[in-house]
Amino acid sequence: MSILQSIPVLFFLFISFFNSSAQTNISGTITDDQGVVVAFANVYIKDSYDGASSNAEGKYSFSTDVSGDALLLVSFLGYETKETPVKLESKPITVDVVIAPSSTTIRTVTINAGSFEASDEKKGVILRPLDIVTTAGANGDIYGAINTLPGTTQVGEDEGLFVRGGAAYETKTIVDGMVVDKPYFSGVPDVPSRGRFSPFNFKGTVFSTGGYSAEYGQALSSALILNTQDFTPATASSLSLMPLAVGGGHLQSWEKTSVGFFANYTNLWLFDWIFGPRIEWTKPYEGFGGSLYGRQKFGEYGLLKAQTDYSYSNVAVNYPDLNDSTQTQKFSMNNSNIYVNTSYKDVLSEKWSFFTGISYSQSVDDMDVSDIVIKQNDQLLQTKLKFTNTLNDDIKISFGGEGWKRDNVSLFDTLSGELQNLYGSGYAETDIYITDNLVTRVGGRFEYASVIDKFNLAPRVSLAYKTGKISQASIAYGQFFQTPENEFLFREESLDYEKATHYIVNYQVMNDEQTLRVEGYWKDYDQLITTPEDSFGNILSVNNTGYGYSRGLDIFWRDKKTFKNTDYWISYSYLDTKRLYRDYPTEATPPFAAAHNLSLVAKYWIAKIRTSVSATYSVTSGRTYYNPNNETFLGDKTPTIHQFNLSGSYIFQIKGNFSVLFFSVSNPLGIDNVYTVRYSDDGTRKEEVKSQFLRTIFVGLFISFNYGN
Amino acid sequence: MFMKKFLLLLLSIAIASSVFSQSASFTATMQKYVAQLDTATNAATIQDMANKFERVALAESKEWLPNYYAALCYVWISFMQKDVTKIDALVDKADALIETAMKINSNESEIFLLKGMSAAARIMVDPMSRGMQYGTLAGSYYDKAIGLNADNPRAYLLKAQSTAYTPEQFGGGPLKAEPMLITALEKFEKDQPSTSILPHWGKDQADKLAAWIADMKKDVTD
Repeated sequence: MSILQSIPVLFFLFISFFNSSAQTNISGTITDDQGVVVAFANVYIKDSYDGASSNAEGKYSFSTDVSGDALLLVSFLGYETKETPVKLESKPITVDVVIAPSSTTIRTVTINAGSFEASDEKKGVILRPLDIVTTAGANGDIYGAINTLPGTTQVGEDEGLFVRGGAAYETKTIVDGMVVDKPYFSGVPDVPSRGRFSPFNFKGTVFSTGGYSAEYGQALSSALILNTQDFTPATASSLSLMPLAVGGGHLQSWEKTSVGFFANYTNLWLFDWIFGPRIEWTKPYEGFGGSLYGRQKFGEYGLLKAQTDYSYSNVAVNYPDLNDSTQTQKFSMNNSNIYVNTSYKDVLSEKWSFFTGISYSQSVDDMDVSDIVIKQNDQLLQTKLKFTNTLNDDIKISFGGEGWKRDNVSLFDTLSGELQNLYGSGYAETDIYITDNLVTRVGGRFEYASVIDKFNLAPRVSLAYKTGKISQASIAYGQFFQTPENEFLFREESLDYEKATHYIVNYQVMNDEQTLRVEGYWKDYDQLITTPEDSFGNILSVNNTGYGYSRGLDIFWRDKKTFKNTDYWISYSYLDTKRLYRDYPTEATPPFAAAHNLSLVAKYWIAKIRTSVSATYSVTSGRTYYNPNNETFLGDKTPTIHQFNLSGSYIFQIKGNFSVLFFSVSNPLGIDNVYTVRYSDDGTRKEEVKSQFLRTIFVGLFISFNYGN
Repeated sequence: MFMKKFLLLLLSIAIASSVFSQSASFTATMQKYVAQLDTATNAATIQDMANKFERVALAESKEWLPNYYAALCYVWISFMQKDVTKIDALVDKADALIETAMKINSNESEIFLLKGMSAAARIMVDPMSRGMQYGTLAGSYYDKAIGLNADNPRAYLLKAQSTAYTPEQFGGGPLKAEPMLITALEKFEKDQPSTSILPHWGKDQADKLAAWIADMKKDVTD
């Protein structure tokens, strides 16, 4: 090859060599879909380092060595990454790019009709779990704090959540997806019991006052959905000391595993001795309990949760006998309770995830009511399986099923009864974003209960529409079925489900510091259990001919902004309800429904002395009670009830360990409320049911020992 | 003959430059960017650095450092962010980058340290509710970072910082932080990363903290 011959080759090589490293300048402007410039967007050529950030005017400019066909990518926090094909041919080019907010950023509209959510993780929730712990009057009881939310009627003489005219049995507590059969400690009449679960166990709480997801059933009115803490890689011990209870626990964590226990002992003897209850305790409440819990992570997303609780309590009390002034009624109760809950969740693929769980509970009550022995043994075994599929950005599908085995054995003096119920259910539900501002949830649930041998099918629909930057309106409709309570099934098994239909309209305005929520509802009751009686009070039959309605308005206002270091919320509920059920001779407003409920909860943080103080004031308008002398059934009403409570926590350290000194003052003003009135059978004698204590002061110390920090 | 050799040489240069340019330029680019980050002080510059590191991270799927630095930038921005409602989104971004870095290198002290920092960043959103949980989480990751490399000066610095700014009543305070900071300063003296692109930040922060603690002690004695 001569030199001359080589020249073209050489020339070609040089051209291509230089050409390959020739630069192309790209410039342009980045705007969002509203035409507003976006600063700091990352603009770059795919698979190269070449790129630039847009400046304050949204402009960018950079040079790249890449040539030919390439992709220009634009990405920024909160926006969808945009790809634009470009041709790079050493000539400067201008590429203006419009980027759109990502769906998670703009889709702030959520299905919220009927529900109050408390979570640390999620945005746009109304409460934080800590809010539950620090609400005065609740004394650390989840149900006490929930009772300050709209939709509930405060019932001083009984435990439970009485939601929108519903009785306590119409609300179900659900832990990690599974119903808890006995969420309250067993107690004595006229003294409300606390919930079994500590609010510290939960990372998220949803209190639904109606229209809830098809995933849940067997609750006519309301669902309290609690999700336990996930895995935390922390090792810590805790100790709590109170004059009436001591408790302690330890949590040991490894990389993917944690195991913990907690044990406590409570004895109200000292408390009763100091404050002098108005009830004659012959054996003040005494109880102990223990929990074992564990978490195991599998792979990146798999999480196994297991928990076992055991508790034992005993108590005895004397009541005046209304029918015979020379007698007292003796009541004593021993209860032991086992609760086991194990669940596992994991992802199957990018789009599929699943949850499975099994839970078991057994509660044994041993009662003695004026020498009549009553025993009750309730067992519930539950399994659950649930799949979730994120079809795409717009559609999520969820479906699953539950199987329950319920065994109840009851002994009343010489009468005994046994019930077994096999229950199966399946549900399917889909969330669809019709537009970025409009989301709908459509679902259905079917159930079968062997004890009554009946099926039901319950449709549920909700729709939420974003009406403004921080406001949304929503509606919900749903049917809800509940198997009749055991007391009726023991008598009659050929019954049908009790049924409620909810219609809800909701409007909410919410920013980070203020929330206004207004909700109107209509609830239709049907097929309620009735027990018509003859003139001697003997039950003639048990059937499903009851009915009723509830309608009302719930208003919630929370404000953390207006007053410095102060967070307060106001709940107001208006309720109009009547029903014919149980032994009611006519339709009437039940004793657990007050027309007006108002709660004001305020919390103030005094940074200087690291103390948080909280006050709760609530007003419940008069509730009906039965007076045999009044011709109108449930025609009497108690006076309006005013309740005022204070609490506070002082945060400090003991030998470097985080400590909280907690105090609460119940009813410092000494308001002597009448919760209800009872009459003797002949109507000649009556008794007012009041709080067992007029005033109490409670002090507790909580210490958390952290290691390795 | 000469021409043939010359052509061959030219050809091989052309091929080699395109093949090796990526890895040679990785180190060069990272050196340049890390040096720029060393002098970055305001959020705007750090956001620009985050973009630069992320570009490298996306092009180099087997390198943990660009992911690490991009995440570090986002954590620093979240520390500077006054509007607490924006913090979670920044930290989510940082966590995604940390996750990628961890998949590439699952046993790196510096990455665990960064994970601790991202947990600590979330506390500011709602200190009352989150303080306990995320504080403990951050602490456990700092300890894990020390477990993987007992000579990582930044891990001691972060522990000293979080202790110093924790109120005394919660087990913190300048006096309690001082011994940790002294350890950190000693470790910084000996800290000699094998390459200039490995994490080496923190010395100036340690000096600032030392000055602050000295100030606080003076106040107490005055």
